[in-house]
Amino acid sequence: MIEVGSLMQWIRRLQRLTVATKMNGHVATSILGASPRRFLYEEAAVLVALALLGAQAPARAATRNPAQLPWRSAQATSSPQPTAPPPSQQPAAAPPLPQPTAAAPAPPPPAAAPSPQNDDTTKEEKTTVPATVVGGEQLESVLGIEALSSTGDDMGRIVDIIVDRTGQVRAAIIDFGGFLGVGSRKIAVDWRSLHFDPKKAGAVVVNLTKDQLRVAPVYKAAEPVVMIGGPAAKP
Amino acid sequence: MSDFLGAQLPSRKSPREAARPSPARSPSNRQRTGSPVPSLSSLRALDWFVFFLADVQTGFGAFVSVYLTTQKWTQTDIGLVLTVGAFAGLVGQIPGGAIVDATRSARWVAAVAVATVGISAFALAVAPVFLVVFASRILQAGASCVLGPSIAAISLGLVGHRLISARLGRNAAFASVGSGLAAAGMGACAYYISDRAAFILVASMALPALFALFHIRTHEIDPTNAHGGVAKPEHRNTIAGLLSLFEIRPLLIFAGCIALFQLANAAMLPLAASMMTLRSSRFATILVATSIVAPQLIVAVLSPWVGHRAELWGRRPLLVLCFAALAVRGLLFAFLINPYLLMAAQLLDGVSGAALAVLVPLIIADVSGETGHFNLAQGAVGCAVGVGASISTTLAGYVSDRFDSQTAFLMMAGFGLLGLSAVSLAMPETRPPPED
Repeated sequence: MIEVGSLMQWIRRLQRLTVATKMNGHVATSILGASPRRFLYEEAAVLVALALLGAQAPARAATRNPAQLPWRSAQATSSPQPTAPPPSQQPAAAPPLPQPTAAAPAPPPPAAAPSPQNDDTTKEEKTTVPATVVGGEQLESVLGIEALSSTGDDMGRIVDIIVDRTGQVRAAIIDFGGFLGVGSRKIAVDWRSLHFDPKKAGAVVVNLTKDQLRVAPVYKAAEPVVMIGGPAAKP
Repeated sequence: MSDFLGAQLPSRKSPREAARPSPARSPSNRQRTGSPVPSLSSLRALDWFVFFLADVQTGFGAFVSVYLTTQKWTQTDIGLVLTVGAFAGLVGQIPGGAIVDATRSARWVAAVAVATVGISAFALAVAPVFLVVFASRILQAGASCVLGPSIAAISLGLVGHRLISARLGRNAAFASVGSGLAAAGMGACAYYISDRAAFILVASMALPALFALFHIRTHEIDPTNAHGGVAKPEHRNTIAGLLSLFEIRPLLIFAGCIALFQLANAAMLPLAASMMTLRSSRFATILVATSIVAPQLIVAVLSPWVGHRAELWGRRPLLVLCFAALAVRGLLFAFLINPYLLMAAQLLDGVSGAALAVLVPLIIADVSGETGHFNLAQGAVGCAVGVGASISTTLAGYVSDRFDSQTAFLMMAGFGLLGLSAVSLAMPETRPPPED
């Protein structure tokens, strides 16, 4: 954690160095001999550095709020979701904690419950930001995963997700058929027809047959989208 | 020598040329006094070079989008990379031809280009991040712009203008067998192992290609022949050379006809394959696979025949056959419903492909040989081909969205008929008169 005092020392050292190099090699022992114009640059640099440090803390807090992800509701998460702090109850394999620290090098997760007093409390009061930590192997990107029918036929791969204006996921676009990329069709499949099996990673089961999928019209953006399937769809 | 690189190179004889007795050649006397005799091993090496090169190039078609999808790319990024690659392949055609024209050794240019394609395929297989894939597509597009003219130049340098027709037929046969086997091999690899393994398979074909290339003996490639039989081209720099090519009427007409062909042809296979996927329930993938591989086998069988007939009958009858096959195919696609019949109609693509694979470099050699800008002319025609192909896919996509696929096929058949009438009415016969 870089403290403000040591930062000022570094800045003064930099000033001396800058002044020294600009005075044709004559090393100045104090900065009082420098011209007022150079002082303006150095002070501006100090102000900019302080502003950046001050801006980092709320910016980091704002980016760590995962509560708006719309498909958390669509997927069942099996692990409990503790909010930070205290992180000491996390298993040791958890990824680094999303503590709202302003320093670039984060401290290693301490064994005891960390007190946020080592934040830059000189600038703001203590804030608690809800965050969710889930083990990496339980999450997967949905792009490019295989879509299988309930009988195990290959139905293609998911290439896109369609979301409506309220942020709710409506359909997945599946690239169906073809050989080596030739002759494939993009079909929109209703999200409720997709089932993610917790035991099978990297694949999703579609509640439709190949015949039902192949006669569907091709997905075109900005035109009425035909999303085949739905909660009542039976294979 | 043209000074594409800015230097005035005198036309000096290298020691190996001076040692070989060569008859005096005036600029208008193109290889009438004697044909070169290349060794059998050089010819075999050229065969295998063309075969392995077609293998490597197969990987960079529509399969790239499938592979990148499995690597979690978004469709927008994939579209961007493919568009940039197509654009680079279009823009690089004329400079590629100029580069091959400017060098004395087409072999070294081809070697560098093959190594580039192999490296870009490996990079794509190993590190599919955006910057690497972007650079890989541009490099591969640029290298393929150079490789097309340099293969024709090496062939012309080895066998001379009298025997080039049969040689081009053989080249086309080996290339189509190579790409057909590569497509089948990639499909099997992607099904049984993974998509990445399919890419590594085609990338590794670059090594045998280089090996075969270096088995072609340098001294048997006559550099004068490789540039069309003229020791010094009339125009020294590239722009003047290009403008002089515009004055050759048969070349302009031919470029227009080939652009019309691509305008009709380029979008036919993807659209027909999409129809096959729509209409066939169980065997759609096999049908599409057969409609990709089987025309390649037909090209392999027909192109040596086309090569021989082009000398006997002349070039025009075969051009008419090519365009007729295209127009018939478009009409069949528009009116057939059964996916198996669609696949049978796609076999006509083999007929057109065989004819064009031989006739395009042959006719270019016929009409541009006197100028010494053979490779530049190939680049210019390649540019016209690329423009026609990109307009074709965009236009066919728009028409099939707006109306339906039958209208799109009819439109493409119309372009084919337009090309057929242009070839029948406007295109002259370019076969050189037989020697007596």
